[in-house]
Amino acid sequence: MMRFLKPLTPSDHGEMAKACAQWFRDELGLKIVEYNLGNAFTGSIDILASDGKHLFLITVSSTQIEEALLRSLTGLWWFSANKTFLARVFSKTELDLTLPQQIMILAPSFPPEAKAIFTQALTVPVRLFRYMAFGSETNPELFIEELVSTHAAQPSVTRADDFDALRQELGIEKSLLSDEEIRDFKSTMGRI
Amino acid sequence: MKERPKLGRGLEEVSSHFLSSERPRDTQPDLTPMAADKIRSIGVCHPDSRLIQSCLVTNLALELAKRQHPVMVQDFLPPGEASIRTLMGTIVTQDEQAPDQALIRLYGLPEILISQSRPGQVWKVPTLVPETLAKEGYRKWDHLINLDNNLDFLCSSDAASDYILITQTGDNPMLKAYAYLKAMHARHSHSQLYLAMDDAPTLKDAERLFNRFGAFVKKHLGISVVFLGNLIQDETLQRSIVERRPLVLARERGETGMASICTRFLEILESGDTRLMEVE
Repeated sequence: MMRFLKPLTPSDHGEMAKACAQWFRDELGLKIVEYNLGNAFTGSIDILASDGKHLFLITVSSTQIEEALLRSLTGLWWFSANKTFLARVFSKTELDLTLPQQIMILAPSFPPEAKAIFTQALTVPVRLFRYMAFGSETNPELFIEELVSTHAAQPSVTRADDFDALRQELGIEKSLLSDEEIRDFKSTMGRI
Repeated sequence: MKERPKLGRGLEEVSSHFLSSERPRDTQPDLTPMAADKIRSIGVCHPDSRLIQSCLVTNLALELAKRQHPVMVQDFLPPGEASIRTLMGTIVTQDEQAPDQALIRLYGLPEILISQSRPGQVWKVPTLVPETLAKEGYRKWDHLINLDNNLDFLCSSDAASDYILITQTGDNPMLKAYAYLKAMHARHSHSQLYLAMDDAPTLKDAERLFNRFGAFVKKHLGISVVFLGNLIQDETLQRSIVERRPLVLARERGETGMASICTRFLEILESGDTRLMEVE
């Protein structure tokens, strides 16, 4: 949760994007490269950010997830098609276009199977964040939390038999789950 | 002429949830020793969503109070996160003397004391209780613990008598849920474990999934986990969070399952019989 001193109106898209960007900067340590790249016709990116290892194309949506997903994908398309242009505008220290890209979507809610659908359908890793604006106009607060990352569930990140990596990824090292337990769990609960 | 009964008897008698106007008690309570068997501790944890976890704790605290259980809520989530005080909204009275404490006084209900933990603090079974509550002759009162939702915290804290774990339904969250249950069981083998699903498509799906999961837990840990229900994150739930109006106090509770999870948990707790809801 973060507290913002200035009025924050959930319906003001630009303002919400800036508030969310502040959360990304403060909580995830991302560097914000630019806001509102592209255009509404061919594709746009609300926030372009980087952690030095990845480029994050962030879409902030206050409406339906379908609209957010479409904007994310057209934003990714615009980004891919305009790399030459971006290379002229930004120096390499500002924006390293060779870094792998990830999509981030912020929305007030997601359908139950959103993570599984995105994992199955998309080749670009997607991270989903749920946000909620609390409080009043004069004392607004914003809550953001990440839904379990879809890219983390892909076999390319954690090999099927690399249980140490899986334990680390899930933060369950202290539970002392044995390899045998995890194997049995996967065979019992597989394809849940 | 015979005096007719007055219609206006005061709002407090009309609304069972109206804020009490009785004189505030001392905000810094004296503490008296408390026998351990008079304390029931309920730990609530959602490994993947502190917001939903806090939301359940908020509603459960009010449901406990509605059933005349005095409650102390200990909030171990970092200050500024989705705290209980934030989600309780306007019904919270902040303690001016002690910034880490707040009270909820609702007409006809026992007080709910909310205590915000310090960073790095873990939960320990309390041996002292506020004297004001002891004086009022409460036989038992409940500690509701909003756990810091990581395993380090869980393993460093004392065991709770009951744990409610909320889990999402994907492969990794379910494995994580098993790991957490194993850690909770390892803290104290007599702790009763409960599970609620977060956002399974339907209650039927949640039950089907739980049957497989519960059987797996039984096979590996030798314990029965009690199924509490499925939480649907619909507009009603979102609105209750954003507007800071706990669902159990609302007229319109929607189909979120939040209120029914609280009710089911307390019915099981009060009946003292967990066998009803166990996996067959």
